[in-house]
Amino acid sequence: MTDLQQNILDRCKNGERIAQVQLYEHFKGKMFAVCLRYANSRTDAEDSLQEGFVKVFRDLHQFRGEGSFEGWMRRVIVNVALQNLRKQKGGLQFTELENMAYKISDADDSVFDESEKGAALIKLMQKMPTGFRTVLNLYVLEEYSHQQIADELGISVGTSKSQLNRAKAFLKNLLEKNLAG
Amino acid sequence: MEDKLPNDRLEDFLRKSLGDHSEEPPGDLWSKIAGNLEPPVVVQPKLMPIRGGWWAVAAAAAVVVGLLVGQHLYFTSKINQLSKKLEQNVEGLKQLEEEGKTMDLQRNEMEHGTASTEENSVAPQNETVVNTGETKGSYKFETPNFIPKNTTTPETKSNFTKEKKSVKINSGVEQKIPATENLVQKNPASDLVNQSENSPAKLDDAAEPKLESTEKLAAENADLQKVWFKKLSPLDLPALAIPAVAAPIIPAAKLASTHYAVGLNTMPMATKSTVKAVRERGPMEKKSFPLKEEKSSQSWMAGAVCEAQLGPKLRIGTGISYRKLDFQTTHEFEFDFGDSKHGGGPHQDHEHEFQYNLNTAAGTVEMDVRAESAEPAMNIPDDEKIAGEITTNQQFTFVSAPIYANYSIGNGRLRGLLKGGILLNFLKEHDFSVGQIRSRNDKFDFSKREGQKGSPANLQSVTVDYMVGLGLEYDLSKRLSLRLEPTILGSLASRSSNPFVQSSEFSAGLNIGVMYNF
Repeated sequence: MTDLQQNILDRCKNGERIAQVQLYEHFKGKMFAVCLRYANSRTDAEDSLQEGFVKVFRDLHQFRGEGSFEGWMRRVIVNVALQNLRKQKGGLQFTELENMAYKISDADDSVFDESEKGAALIKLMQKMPTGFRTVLNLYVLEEYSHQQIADELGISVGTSKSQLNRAKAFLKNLLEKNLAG
Repeated sequence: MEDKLPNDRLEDFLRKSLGDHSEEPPGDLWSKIAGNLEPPVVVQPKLMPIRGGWWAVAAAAAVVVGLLVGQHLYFTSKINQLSKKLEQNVEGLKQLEEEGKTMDLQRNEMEHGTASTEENSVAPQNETVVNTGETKGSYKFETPNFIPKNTTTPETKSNFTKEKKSVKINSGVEQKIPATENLVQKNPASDLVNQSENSPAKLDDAAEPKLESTEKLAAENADLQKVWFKKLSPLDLPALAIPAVAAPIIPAAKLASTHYAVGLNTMPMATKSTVKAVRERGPMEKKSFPLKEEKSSQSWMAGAVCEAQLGPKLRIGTGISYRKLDFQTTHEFEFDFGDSKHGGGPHQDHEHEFQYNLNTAAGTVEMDVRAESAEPAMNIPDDEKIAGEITTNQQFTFVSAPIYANYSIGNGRLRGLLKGGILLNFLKEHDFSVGQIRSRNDKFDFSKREGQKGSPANLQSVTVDYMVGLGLEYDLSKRLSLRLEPTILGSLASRSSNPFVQSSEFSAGLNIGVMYNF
């Protein structure tokens, strides 16, 4: 962490509004993308981002400088996003879509426009069942182990693994359809 | 990562596409976030930005230690000087009192015409300064024609010659009174009695300067004692030391860009006191009976603390506390009826007195216990056991200064706390009283006569305790936290200054504190 970042964090801990704005401006894009990956809709993602930043500022004194600040902040935001998913009607559901075909052997990323690739992918992910999307996010992008996912979501390791496989298959299918269309 | 697929291109694709992906949130989102945050803090510019906060803290600590050492040396030196002067003045007062007695005696002799053999001894003829020792000044009377007592006539009085006298006292005052000429045969005897400087009237005049000196010395003495016991008492050191310790912490923390916190705390405690007679006191005329049982003992302290963050998990702190200890202690004793012969001795056949030393935290208390047989006519053998209980009540009040380090365990809202340090106790008040004395032998009734009581003089004015705590801290809000710390305190040295008694305490309590974090 640079001296400048540390200075901003220290001032945020002291409740300085200017420093809080600086921190928000620096991380808002990345954290909003995280929220979008977990949320069912853009509105849900905005709610998660708002609640997440409030929690970050309130709990900032708990960050003791161990590890990167961005990593700590991302964990806070992900936790808020997961809480919001649980609160929603039906909660976090882990569907068993057995007939999902694994049709795409190699996803070819060259077909996406680089500038819109992330946004397009997120839109596709939002079409996935919540359980698939959550496990996929936690495993692939947050780099949780299956045991950690099981602990976090209150499911078995086996369920985590099967959800991941089905999520990949589902996403590849979506990608294939998207590319075909 | 378990069961990862290293070549899973879908995962790589997702990580590459979404790992650093960002999207612009709505513009008004910040205002919503800000609406849920605490009101902004107005930032005051730092007076002196300093890099390397550790050096600032170390420098502040060095200044504090220097102040304390300097203060200690200054007061020690001052107290020693005043103590020496006090002793000298006490000596001077004694001498002046002796002189006063001598002069009274001489005046009586003048009035009644009597003189002791010593006083009528021959003195040098000429005016000389009588060396009366380093500090004494006195009169000597020359009596060429020795006349025994009760045979003095006015004529004999006219033979007095007076030497020049010199009054020296340690305060440096020296007063010389001119010697009178030899008055023999110059005046009628009756006049001589009045005119002689050794006449009662002249003696009164001569005594005046001495009396003035005496008063002056007495006044100076009183002032010195006042200074000694009040102004420069070690008991008053905390008033200077504690602010000196606490005051630099916040500025040092600020200069070092270190977080600091202030708080209030209180700690009820259960306390166990241990008193040991470390060696016998004089010949065994008196038996010593030690502390046997404690029925109740409790203590309590409350105060304010100030802490500075030295690391991500480490804080140091100090403060000031009011601490009160309250003991009700039962001492059990047993002795033979025949022991009384070694003590006060039998007054009557049915009354025996026993002198015993009672060891308490306040020091050794000499007790006279009178055992009175319920039936005076009873013939009591020497080996009859007399047993009883004495209850003592002791209260200590301290101003205490904790100096400690805190280590946080965990990062969550609820964290563990490990605390260790010392507690400097400055004795402010002490009260001791002997309560009930109860007989365990139906044949006797007891009554007490307390001898020398335990007193603050028996107690160290400053003692040090160790302090260890393991507790929890919970964040009530962003700045406010609550602490619950089971804590133990124990004496590192005897609380008693009496060389015959070693007293110490061990306390266990729950420290409850509220901290405000800046």
